[in-house]
Amino acid sequence: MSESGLLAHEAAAGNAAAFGTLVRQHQSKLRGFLLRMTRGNHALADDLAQETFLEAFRKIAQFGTGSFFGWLCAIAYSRYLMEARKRKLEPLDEADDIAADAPETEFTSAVKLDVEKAMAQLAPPQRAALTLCFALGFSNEEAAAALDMPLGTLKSHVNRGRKKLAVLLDAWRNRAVS
Amino acid sequence: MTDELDILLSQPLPSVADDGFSVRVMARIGRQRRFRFAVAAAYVAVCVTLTFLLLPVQSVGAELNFVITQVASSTAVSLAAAALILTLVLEGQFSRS
Repeated sequence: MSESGLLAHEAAAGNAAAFGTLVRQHQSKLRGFLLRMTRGNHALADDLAQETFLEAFRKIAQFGTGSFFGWLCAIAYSRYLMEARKRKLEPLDEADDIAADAPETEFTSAVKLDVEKAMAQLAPPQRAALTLCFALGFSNEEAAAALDMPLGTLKSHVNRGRKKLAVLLDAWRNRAVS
Repeated sequence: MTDELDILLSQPLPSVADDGFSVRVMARIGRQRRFRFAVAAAYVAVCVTLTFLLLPVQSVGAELNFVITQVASSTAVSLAAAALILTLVLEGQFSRS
């Protein structure tokens, strides 16, 4: 069993410190995933990440084997969808402010910024599928389980997302050249 | 383009500094646990209080005392207890030999 799996079982036995270690270990990747899902809305991403960890702690006894981070992503994605439905009448985020609100790390080259902006144009399932399968290195099966969708649907989201991204990036590149 | 895109997509997500996030999460978990403990304790206290107030505790106690005395002075129960003890002792002897 992985280190995270062992810590999760310790947490399930009532060891809150073990859960604290899990939070520290996974917060960066989880917040990065939610930051992309919310199209760069830091406040909302952090709120969702907090709620995800609280729910994970409440349901820690239900965690079996497998990837703990995958399990966290499943909770985070369902929370994100609930929030998106709740905010149906208002935009979930300020999509066009990506450049201003993007994390100030090494992720600042123009091309990467274009990818982030293009990602923001995708439908949430496509964005989630591409992020899990590429940036977070999930297998298709793991990503399908985390997003609670059949494998075929996941593959179709990945393919459609990649095609749309390629079209968007090409269009921007051509506009920049001309 | 597809290869280039795949490489771009495979870049790890930018790391997000903790900046007290983990501490805030654990503090909220601690508050929730204390709150749930307080609610459970209050629930038990209310149940115990209601039990003592609503149930005829004294007459139930007297009935219980009567039943225990009857059972303890019963010949059948004494014989059954003796048989049980004898069985356990003999089983221990046989398993050792």
